[in-house]
Amino acid sequence: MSEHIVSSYDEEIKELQGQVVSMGGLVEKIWIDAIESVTTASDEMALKVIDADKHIDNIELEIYTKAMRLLALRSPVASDLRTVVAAMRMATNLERLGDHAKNVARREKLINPDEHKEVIILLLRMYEMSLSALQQAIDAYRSPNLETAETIRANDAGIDELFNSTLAIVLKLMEPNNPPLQTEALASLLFVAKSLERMGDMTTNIAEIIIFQETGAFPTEERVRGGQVGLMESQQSRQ
Amino acid sequence: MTIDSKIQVRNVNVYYGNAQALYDVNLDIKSKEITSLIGPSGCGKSTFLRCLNRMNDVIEGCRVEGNITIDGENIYSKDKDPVLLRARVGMVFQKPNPFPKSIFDNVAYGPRIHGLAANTTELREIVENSLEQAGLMDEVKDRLNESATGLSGGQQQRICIARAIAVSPEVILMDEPCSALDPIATARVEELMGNLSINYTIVIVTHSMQQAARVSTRTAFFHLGHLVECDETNKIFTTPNDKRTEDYITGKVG
Repeated sequence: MSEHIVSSYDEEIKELQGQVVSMGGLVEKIWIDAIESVTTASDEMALKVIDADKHIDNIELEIYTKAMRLLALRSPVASDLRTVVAAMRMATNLERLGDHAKNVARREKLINPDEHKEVIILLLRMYEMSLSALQQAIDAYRSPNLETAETIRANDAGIDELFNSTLAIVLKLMEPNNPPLQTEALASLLFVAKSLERMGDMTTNIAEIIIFQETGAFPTEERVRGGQVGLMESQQSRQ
Repeated sequence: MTIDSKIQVRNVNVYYGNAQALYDVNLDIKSKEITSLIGPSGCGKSTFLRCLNRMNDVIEGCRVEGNITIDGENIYSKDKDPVLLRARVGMVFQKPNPFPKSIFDNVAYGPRIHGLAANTTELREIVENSLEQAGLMDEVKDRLNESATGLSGGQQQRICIARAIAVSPEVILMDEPCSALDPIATARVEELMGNLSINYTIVIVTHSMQQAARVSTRTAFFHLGHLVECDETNKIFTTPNDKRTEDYITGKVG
């Protein structure tokens, strides 16, 4: 890519993008730790995640401050404008990804990793897919790659399908006579599943931000959605 | 002819002696909207602007080839009088250039030489109406007989705009009209341009990209004598088609 005549402008844009990439790295790490806190039942790890989320929130504000400064002082246009807008949207999505990791860690105390193995296996599969997509998305942002962005967008349906399968299994396990603690544990597993599903959605948002940054247009075609959600919907669709 | 196209430029090449300044320029300028011409110094944008009212005729050794029509009439045909053309296509320059005369006489100058007023009452009406349109009437109504050179820079530029309007042009060409003005005077002229575009077709050369972005509906980018692209201003400043445009507006080395 050509460079700006004013080198400090280049530096400011690179610094902004660099901070987004490093925020992406922290979000990857917070998710790895959040899931580990659940699978190892580690209170200590869960607390670490909750603390790390605060740090991620602060980075979002720093990115906004830098982006505002660039908008005010440099009046960016064309690809520069798209880069600054993309960085702001990236920061918002990454901050929310951090929130969801924190939500998972908060469930750690309520989940026994040795129970409901069939649900946990599905959650871990969702996690592997979502984390891999997130890592690819951050890489595709670091070195803009439209092909990867399109693939991430297309693959989100697989995560949705796993969420629906998890939901179906958890609903079957939820019996009226279950002890409250067991119901709470199942509900917690469902919250984790939902956070992982949202992780997939937000990673898809990141892919779309990359497409916007590089082309100036947001993808207009509908994302492929994975299957039906919940018992009610599957009953309704049968009718 | 394209619908709403006021000025049609086809295959225009301009030479200063042996040096070619414009290469095969094709452009449609729409009626009653503002078109900005941007590009680095020496790109040919001012040369192009001056083609539109044959100001290049007065430059020795300048040769214009191709076809430029306004409302379908070839402005370079032999039977066209460039003086009458310049009444139809007015011009405002970079530096405010009021005549060393009164405010009234500055604005009355064009109507007088073109015989547009039958009597002094009509002349006064034209002058007052032009000052009104230029947004200057309230500021100068009590000193119409004072020298125009005593006004502020921004007011002088608006006097020049009023002087251009006074001969009822169809097109107003502006060559960096705000480059000598402070931000407030610039804002006044820009606001005025917006109001004038209801009745006039305006073409402006500007070095300020922000000004092009603020005032114009369409923007044309010139580079090394070529018209690189002309599109809606929003498109040029968010997703230009050509890398040369992108590099110029973002301030990158091409």
